[in-house]
Amino acid sequence: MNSLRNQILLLSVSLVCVASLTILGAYWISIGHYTSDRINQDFSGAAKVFGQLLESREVQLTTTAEVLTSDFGFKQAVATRDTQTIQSVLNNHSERISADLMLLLDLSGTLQASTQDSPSPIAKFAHQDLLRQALTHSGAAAFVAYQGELYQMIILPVYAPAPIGFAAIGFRLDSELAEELRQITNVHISFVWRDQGAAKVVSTLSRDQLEEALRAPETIPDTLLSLIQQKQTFSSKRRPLSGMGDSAIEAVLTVPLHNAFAEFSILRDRILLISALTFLLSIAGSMVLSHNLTKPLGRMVKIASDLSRGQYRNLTPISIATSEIKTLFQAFIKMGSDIEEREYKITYQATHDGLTGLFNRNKVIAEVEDALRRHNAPFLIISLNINGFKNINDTFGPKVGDDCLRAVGQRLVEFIPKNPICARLGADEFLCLVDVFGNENARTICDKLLAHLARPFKVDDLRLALSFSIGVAQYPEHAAAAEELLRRASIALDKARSERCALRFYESGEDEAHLRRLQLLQDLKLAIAEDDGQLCMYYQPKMHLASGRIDKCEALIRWSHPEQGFIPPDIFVELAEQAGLIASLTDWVTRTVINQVAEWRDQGIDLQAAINLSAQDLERDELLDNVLSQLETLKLPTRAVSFELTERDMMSDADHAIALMQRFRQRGFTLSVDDYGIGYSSLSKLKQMPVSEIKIDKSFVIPLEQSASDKIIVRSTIELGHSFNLKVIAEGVETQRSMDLLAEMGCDYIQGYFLSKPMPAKELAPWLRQRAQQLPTQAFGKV
Amino acid sequence: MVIPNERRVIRGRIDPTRAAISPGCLCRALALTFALASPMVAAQTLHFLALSDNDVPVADAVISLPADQRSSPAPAYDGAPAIMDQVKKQFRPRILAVAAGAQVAFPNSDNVRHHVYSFSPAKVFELKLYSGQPEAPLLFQQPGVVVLGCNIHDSMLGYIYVAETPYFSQTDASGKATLTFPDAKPAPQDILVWSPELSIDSQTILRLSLSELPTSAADRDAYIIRLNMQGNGVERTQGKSGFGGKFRKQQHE
Repeated sequence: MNSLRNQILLLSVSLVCVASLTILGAYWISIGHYTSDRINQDFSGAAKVFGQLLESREVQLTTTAEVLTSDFGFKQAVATRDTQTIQSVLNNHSERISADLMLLLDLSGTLQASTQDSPSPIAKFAHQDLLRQALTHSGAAAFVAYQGELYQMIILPVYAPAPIGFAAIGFRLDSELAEELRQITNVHISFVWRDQGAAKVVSTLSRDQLEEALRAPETIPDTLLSLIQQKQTFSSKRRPLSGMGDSAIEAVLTVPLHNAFAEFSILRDRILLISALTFLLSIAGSMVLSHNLTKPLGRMVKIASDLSRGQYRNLTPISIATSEIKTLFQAFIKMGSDIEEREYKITYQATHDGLTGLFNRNKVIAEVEDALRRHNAPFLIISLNINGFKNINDTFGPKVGDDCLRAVGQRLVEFIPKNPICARLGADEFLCLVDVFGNENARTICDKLLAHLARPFKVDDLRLALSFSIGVAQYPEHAAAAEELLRRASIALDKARSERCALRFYESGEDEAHLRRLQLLQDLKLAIAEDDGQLCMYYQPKMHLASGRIDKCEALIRWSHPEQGFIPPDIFVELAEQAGLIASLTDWVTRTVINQVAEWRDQGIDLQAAINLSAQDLERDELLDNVLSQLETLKLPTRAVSFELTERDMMSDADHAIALMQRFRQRGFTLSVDDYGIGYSSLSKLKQMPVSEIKIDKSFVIPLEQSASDKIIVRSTIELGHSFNLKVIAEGVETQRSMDLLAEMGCDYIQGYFLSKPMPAKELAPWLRQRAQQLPTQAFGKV
Repeated sequence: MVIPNERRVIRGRIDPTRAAISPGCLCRALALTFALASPMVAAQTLHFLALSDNDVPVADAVISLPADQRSSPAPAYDGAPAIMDQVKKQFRPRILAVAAGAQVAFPNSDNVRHHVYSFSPAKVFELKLYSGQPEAPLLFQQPGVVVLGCNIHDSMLGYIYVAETPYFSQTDASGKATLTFPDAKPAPQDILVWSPELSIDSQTILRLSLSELPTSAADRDAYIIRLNMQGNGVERTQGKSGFGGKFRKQQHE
């Protein structure tokens, strides 16, 4: 009901109704007045014509009568006074002028002769006044009722030459005459008079109409409504023809109103017919209009839903449409193309790497899935990164770096003949899918790629030769799922990087190990956060050889995994380093160790605990701050703890490391070089290192008794250390003999199974007490 | 059957209430009149003043002695015929008074022909189309009023009054007339007065008793005759309806 179509229909139909009714009403009113006026005009015109007709008839009849009465023979005959003669003259002359009645009266009005049989022999003419008038005006004319008939009577004196009598010549007013007059005047005519008390009528109206017509008022209702209300069918005008005597004679002119208003009925019916036609036309027209409007609207709705479904092209055009709809349609088309463009951009941004224009990770997974679905031909997923990209960025600035990445991306795309699936996954990590055709060897393909990438890149007038690491996962050998392929390629790449080789294929099981490591990492993260006893610190005592005192120990972390049991520290520490978890692990360690040292102190045990740091820990300023504040809280001196750093960590970026280690020394901490001897350290660097102690790696110390060369190495290392004014500690001392040798070599401290295995903190104090009891004689031993 | 337009002699039709002079005065006037009568001429002379209802003098009224009032028989008429001429389509004189037995000639002075006729009972005649002098004068033997018309010219109207006695007189323009007749014993009591306007058909002759007539002392004791002029104002407009438009007038009322 509320639809546009219905509203249009309602509007037009009601407009037509209102207009038709208004026109009809206005027409009703005006036609009423008009008809009424017209009838009035016709009526008065007819009355005038009627009067003129009677008058001219009177003149004509008078003239005729005058000719008759002027006739000498007539006069002569009248003068004879012979009744028979006079009678015959009257008959003769009345026939001559077709008079209906002719009377001869003497001057007193007494009837002398008549063309009709006289009612009485001596009758007085009733209208003496007419006779007087006839004498004074040489004649008189009047309407006279005589013997039950109505006459237009001309009364003339008969001059001989003085008046000797009157001739009365009557012309009957009968229905024939009335009908003649009616035809001329176009109104009904009735003559009404009374004759001896009885009403007499001559009329053109039929007998049944007569009574009502004669009673009808003279006025004509000026509105149709009142006409209908009053049920007036006639209007009559009364005109007295003669007021003389007792017989008042009237002419009644009658207009039948229904005839006059019949025209209105015809016109009204026509208007109603036209209204009905207009009504139907307006319904049809508005249906067409609404159809023209609502159908395109429906189509627009369809188009809008197409657009919302993302169908922007091949929109159904609208055939029958107004210009507004066409404009709207054009706007929809424009909107569709704009949305499509924007959507394309958004999609592009969502699926592409902004820098290189290659796919991003999400997209490339989808693409690889697509490729998997598409064909079963073997292909390679090659994951690669730029070795030392950080240096390029640092050296030439990020812009060159970006350009470099773009160039690499371009080079990758060039390598793949058609429909290249290439992505940039991270900072300098790329991935591409390369199809393997026929019997091509995967390795050959990769070599080709490497060769392709080996050509120098021209970036901003620079020619850069970049080296790459490539990890490859093969389909279908290595995996059948996209994510798996990508992960395995990535694992291969990690391996290539860690193994410092240019090309590395995924090997079976690596992914599982990788996943295990990930799981382990997750567990470690939990263990650190929960601190539920899975992690604990073991302490291995260090003995001062010269005095035999135990005044230092090394803090070693142990992880007892709830399911896997003991996890070797080098595994999970490396894992933590790789996963960036080392900071929180180190924090946990320092916190635990410092608390333990404080506890020992309370027990009267003065031990300096050495905490192992990784290279990443050096970067963290807050580490030292945290340690210092904790020491301060526990009122411990800085020498309560020391730090150990492997030679390899120190030397991988020696200058940087020196700068960082300087801060430790500045704050009063001592640093030891751990695992010294296997780490390619140069002596010059060692000289600059702000360390106070070197720990000779156990690989030299364990075979010390048997190997002369190790003896030389150890001895020279001790001497070297001392020459740099460094303390030297040997770890891995397992026998008395080794200890003796080291003591003889002048080593400062020893650490090893000969002294003690690493033990939990709670075992250390009893161990120390037991040792003090076993070695009471040792002069240099001090608990 | 009574023909209304025959000669009528009506006695005493003067309305006494209309008389200005009392009967006493009348007697005195009569006495005076007789006293003034000349002894030399054995004749009597009476003076008359004819007035209409509204005191307008009536001209051409004929006053005559009735035949029964004369003392001696009237002498035979032996004079030349009286003349009723027709000039300019009018009878001239309009009113001709003659004694019974007189001859009247009807010469035609116009250059058109006339057809003089009379349907009056006193003398019915017809002088068919003629010009100049008709063959012979007509004899008017019977006293009475003869109304003359012309069949060709309807407007022509003339009267010949045929008096019973030769003693008659016609009033002049001032309404005065003098009637002289031979002395007679007894003196005449009645006179006849006629004017065309006394009746519609002009046939009415008044017979008045002198004793009932008022006299006017100022005017030689003349008898005052008041005439009820019935035919006054009757005009004939020939060939044209004078009464048309009555219906129209009613319509416009």
